[in-house]
Parts: sequence; C-alpha cells; structure tokens
Amino acid sequence: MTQSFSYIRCFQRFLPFLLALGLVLCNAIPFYPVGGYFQSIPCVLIVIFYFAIFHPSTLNDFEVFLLSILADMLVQSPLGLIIISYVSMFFMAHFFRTYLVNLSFFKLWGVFSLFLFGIMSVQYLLFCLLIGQWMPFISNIIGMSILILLYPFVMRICAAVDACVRGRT
Amino acid sequence: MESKMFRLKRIKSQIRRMVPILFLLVGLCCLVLWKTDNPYISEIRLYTLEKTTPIVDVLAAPSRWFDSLSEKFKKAVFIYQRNEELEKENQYLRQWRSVAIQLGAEQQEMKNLLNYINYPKALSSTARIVMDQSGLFARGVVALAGRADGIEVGAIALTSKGLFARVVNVTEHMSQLMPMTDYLSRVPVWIGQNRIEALMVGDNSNHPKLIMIEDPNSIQSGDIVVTSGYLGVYPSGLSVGLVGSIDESDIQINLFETGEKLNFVRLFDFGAKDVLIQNDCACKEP
Repeated sequence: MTQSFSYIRCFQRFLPFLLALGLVLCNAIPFYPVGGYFQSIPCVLIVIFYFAIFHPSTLNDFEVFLLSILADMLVQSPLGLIIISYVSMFFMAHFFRTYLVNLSFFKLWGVFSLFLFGIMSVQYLLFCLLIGQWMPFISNIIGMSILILLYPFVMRICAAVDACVRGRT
Repeated sequence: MESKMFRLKRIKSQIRRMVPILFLLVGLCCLVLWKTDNPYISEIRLYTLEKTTPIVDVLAAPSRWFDSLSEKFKKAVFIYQRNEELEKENQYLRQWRSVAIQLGAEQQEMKNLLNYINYPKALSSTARIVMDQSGLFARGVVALAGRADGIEVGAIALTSKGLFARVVNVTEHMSQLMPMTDYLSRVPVWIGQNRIEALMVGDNSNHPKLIMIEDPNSIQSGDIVVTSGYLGVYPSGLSVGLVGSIDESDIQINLFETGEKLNFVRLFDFGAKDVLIQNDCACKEP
C-alpha cells in the first residue's frame, strides 16, 4: 500500500516533466490542419514559464536543460538555439518570480509575450549571425502569435497538472 | 562550526544560481560546435532521431487519422465539381492519346536507328514521413526508409507533384530529408523554354528565390522551373515549380510541392552519393 502510494507520488512529481516531454515529442509530429503548412510551435515554453513561476521545484533548471537538448536534437535548426531559448525562459521567469507570482492572469500573459518576443529576437539574431544572411522575420511573428494565442489553453493544462502534483483535485 | 555551515550553504546557493548561466554557456558552445560542422554532433543527432522516431511515429497516429479524415471530407465536398472537370479533361486528352501513341512509336524507331543508350534506372522506394523537423529556422522531415532499403545520401524525394527534397543523412532505417524550402538548399535549375540557368536557394519560406541568373531580363512570371542537372546532384528535367513574383531584387518560385500534408514520398537514388563524395574530396584538396 505504502509502496504504491510512493509510486504515485513519484509519478506526480515527474508529471510536469512528462507533460513538457510529450509536448517536445509532439512538436516533431507532421501535423497539417486544414488550410496549409503548419509550423511547429514550441508550446513547451509556456509550460516552462508556468512552472518556473508557480512550482519551480517540479520542473527545475536541469530538467529544462534536458528537454531543450532533446528538442534541439529533434529540430533541424542550429544546435544550441533551443537550449538558449528554453533556459533563458526559465531563467527570466525564475529571476522575476517573486514579482510575477502575484500578477493577474492577463498581466502574466503580457509578460510572457514580452519574454517570448525577447527570446525569439535573440534566437533570430543568433541564427542570422550563424548563417551570415538575413532571413524573413515573418515566420517568427506568425509562430509567436500562435504561441501567444495558445497561452490560455496550455496554462489551463499546466494548472491542472500543478493541482495534481500538489495533491489537489 | 555554525558559521562554517552557513558559509557552505551560501556558496552552495551561489553555485545553484550560476547553473542556468552554465546551461546558457553550454548552448552557446553547441552553436559554435554546430558552426564548425563537428561530425560528432551530427552523429549524436542522428542517433537521437533514430531512437525517437518510433515514439513519434506512435504519437503521430491520431494526427495521421485526423489528416486522412480531413482529406476524405475535402474530397467528398469537391468530388462532383472535380468529376465534371475530369470529364472535360478526358475528352481533350483522348484527342491527344492517338498523337502520343504515334509519336511514341516514331521515337522508339528513332532510338533503334541511333542505338540510343537509356538513362540508368534509379533505385526507388516509397517511404512514409514520420517526423517533421521544421522549426522557426529550418525545414526538414524524416522518412521511414534507410540504408536497409537501398537509400543513400544524395537520393532525391519526389511526390506526384514534383521534386520535394534531398536525403542529407541516412541511418539503417530512416533518412533525413532537406526540402527545397530549407535555407541550406541550393538547386541548379533551368527556367522557361530558353533554359536560362540559375540557382534556386531556399529561405525557409514556401517561395525560394533565384540567384546567379544567366539572363534575368528574359524570365517571365509563369515560366516553368526544372532541375538542370548541373553538378550531378539532381538529375535534369525534374519539375520544381513556376516563376512567381518578379521584382527588382527578387525572383520567387511557386513550388509544385511545398510539403503540405505530405504523408508519403518516393525516394530515388540516382547515384548522387558518388558525386557528393567527389565534390567533398575536391573541396578538401589543398
């Protein structure tokens, strides 16, 4: 009885990591909704943002780093770009945690958009620097917009997972 | 004793705070390693891909089901309209059929007369797309066919619409494809009936650009773009797309195959591996 209870606790502890891992793997699925080419959207950034603010012990920096390495291996972009973006998101959210934790949902949404814009811009600049030419920024803007629109849905899932981790239903 | 414990705790917390910075530095190091084309990086990447492909393939089952469902729905909606179009097209094609048969017979006769040697037949296999590696900065897909199926680096991926990609990495059971839309893609092409030579370069959008154009002024919107076969990586004559918008700085191509809703590709090995190896050796020579 006690052993099965400890297994459940262990599973609950790793639930945020498993959620993030699932999102990273799902990013690699060739999914084309009606209407055209679908660009993979890093929803895992929202998960990292949420847990870095509200429950950093369940999705810590090392786990974020592991996830970012896996994501970097799966995507055919320059190796290291995703590591930088995921770790930066965790670092920034964790650094301003005491301030962010008291913000309302909509203000937090705004802060996430701001962080995302900063990270994507740095990613874009690094990428252009690496390949030595300017690429169109429009795909970045589309990706960012979709991610910002998806924020409430992913946040809701994160909140449900967080409640499960804390042992509430 | 207590002060020593306190100091240790403080050092520990300071180190803990430095960890994300350390991870960021690791990310930067990875970028530098990627830039230097480190072979270990690509090997590790391929190994990870090979191990994660079955998991992603299982996870992709609902997506495939959804895609096929949406495709069926679309087909059902447009089936009557398409049928009418096809009937008209069929009537038109019947007129040309007899001409084609006659021309085919004539061509065969000519070939026999000239002792014509046919283009070597390419090894081909059909492979399912199991993973989409496209991100914000690059395009790429993974197909479930590898060395075990006779696929080598340099094989090309075609669909019913035209040329789609080239195999850039291959393992025993999977191949990594680089679509023509990827920023690293370079395809030598001919444009229009005058066969104007140019190089088509990808920019991660669905409309690659033309550079190094032999005669830019004679290109018109709507001209067909086919592979020229220059350097031997792509065989000549494969349809790529049509010339789209032309402005002062850019000539964009509307590709026949952009990779939308792509489930299967046909991989053809024309023996470009030898060409790639030769080019590689030529580059390394002092």
